[in-house]
Amino acid sequence: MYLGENIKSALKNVLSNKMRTFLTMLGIIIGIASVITITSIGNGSQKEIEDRFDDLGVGRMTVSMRSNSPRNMYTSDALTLDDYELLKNVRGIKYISPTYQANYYSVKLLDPKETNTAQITGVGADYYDIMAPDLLYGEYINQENIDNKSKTVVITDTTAQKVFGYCDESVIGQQISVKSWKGSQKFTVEGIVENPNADTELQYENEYPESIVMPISTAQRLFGQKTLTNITLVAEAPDDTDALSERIVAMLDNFHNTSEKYTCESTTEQLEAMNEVTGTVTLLISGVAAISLIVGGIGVMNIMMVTVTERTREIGIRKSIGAKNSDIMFQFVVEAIILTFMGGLFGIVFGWLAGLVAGAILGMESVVSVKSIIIAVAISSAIGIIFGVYPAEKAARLDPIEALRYE
Amino acid sequence: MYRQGVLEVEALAGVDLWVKPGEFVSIMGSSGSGKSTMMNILGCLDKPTSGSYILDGIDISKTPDSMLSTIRNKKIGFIFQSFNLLPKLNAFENVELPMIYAGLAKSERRKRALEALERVGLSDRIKHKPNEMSGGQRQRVAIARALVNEPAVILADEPTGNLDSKSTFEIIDIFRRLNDEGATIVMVTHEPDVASCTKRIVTFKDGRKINDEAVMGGNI
Repeated sequence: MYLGENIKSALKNVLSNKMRTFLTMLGIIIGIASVITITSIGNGSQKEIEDRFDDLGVGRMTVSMRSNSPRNMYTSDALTLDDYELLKNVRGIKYISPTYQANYYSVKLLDPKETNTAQITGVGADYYDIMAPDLLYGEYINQENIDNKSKTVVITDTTAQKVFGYCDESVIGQQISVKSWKGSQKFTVEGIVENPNADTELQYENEYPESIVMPISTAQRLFGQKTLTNITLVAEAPDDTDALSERIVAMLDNFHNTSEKYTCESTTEQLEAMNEVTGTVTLLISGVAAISLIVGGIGVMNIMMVTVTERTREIGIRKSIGAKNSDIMFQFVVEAIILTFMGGLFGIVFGWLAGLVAGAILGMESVVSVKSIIIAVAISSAIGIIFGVYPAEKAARLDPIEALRYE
Repeated sequence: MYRQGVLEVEALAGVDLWVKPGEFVSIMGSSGSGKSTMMNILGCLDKPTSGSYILDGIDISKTPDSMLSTIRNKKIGFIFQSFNLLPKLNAFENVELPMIYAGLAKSERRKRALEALERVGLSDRIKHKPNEMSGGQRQRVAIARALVNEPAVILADEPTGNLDSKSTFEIIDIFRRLNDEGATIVMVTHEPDVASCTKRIVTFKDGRKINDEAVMGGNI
């Protein structure tokens, strides 16, 4: 029997009892919709991370000590400026800068206006070239500042707006007060850069710390530390960072007489690692949602069993006029597939809408990929086959004489 | 019928029945006489446990079950007491169905379905669903469906059992006309009036053939 005829007659049967069809499909709709919603949010957050990393640039690498416990930070193996000096002359490095970041929960700006927290980053002269921020006014931290341990800072436009109430040329040269557990000190604003995350930070106004950049020497003295948080660098060949990374790690291990104590990760690796985490989480939740698909499939099977019983006589008639067992089997499998396929389509639409709503509520982007649509359609059709075969086989095996006698 | 075919049955209890192409036979008998079993075997819905049944030169008793549906499709046209049309399909679609299973092309199906409906005088009812038609009309749709694949034999099981006398007369008239045009028809009935309109009456009792005679004016 032709596929077209089969689909036509299956559609006719499925549509002749709309309420039952809808209720049967509901399980599949809910299952597919939840999987689509979850993956769309997952895809969205993955995309967000990727965009973030795009801002960070390619070929950037971060050298840090492998530390499983915070205690390690204070061992003699912690990175210091000596390590920076050591790495400075390594081949294949375009820019390199030491960084020291203080725990921002205990730091805030006091004057002229108080803020909740501040992230102090002590940097080297190359930091500007590494991060490539948009300098709006004034100048960035330079080697002279570092040598003199000068009390100069670079702030962002959003911080200027918050602390001074305005952001223009006249902020340059003004004083800003930083309060930490080491007391409070005054610094001179030397430059203002654009905050690349201004949009996100405005959304969560008080959750992001103010970002303050100062010379590494000044930062280390301010907090009384000799260690570095990490060393940031840009490779000359951004596509081939593996060899450089290995060389750097080997040098540091050799220098400290340790083994695999240090890591040198490129931004792409970090991106992959983060994507892997979001991917796993998405997969896990989708898996849970997929269980509802099985429940939906059982619902379809149940209704197909009822349908077969109800239509016993029809099956008898069809057999008496020459339908083969395979024709009957095919007919009912097609019907089951149409049920689940249509359920899948509705599920995609509902899931897409739910993803938009959930994305709006969570402040995340929701992205329905072609891949997830194809997978959803394939899965729902597969459910139709898996759960449709048994009732269809039951129908195909009916004895025509018995079936014709059925009232 | 233009085929060189013969029906032979040796079943039930030593029943020996030959039906030649172009015959119009009625089978009579009370319930339990074995006529239903006979029809099931003739219709290839059932196989005799022993003995043989040869339809149009094919030994059905030796044919594998998987082939029987094709034989039913091509060689047999069924007509039932309760019409057995598919309620969701209209007259045209009901008549078209056996040809779909036969794998005919759409244009050919359309041509033959319209032709068959015309032969039973239902050209103006092709879009009607079974529940929009009278019993007589439904049975005529069933007849059109039975003859559309040009079967070797038309098997009618109490075709007038659910009909009033006017419709009964119409149906018998159509059978006679089809028979005149060459169709082989075997009909089960318990109405002597109906049986007397055929050319030969075979009577069953307790699983045995007790009588087999030509109707006056008929020819064997």
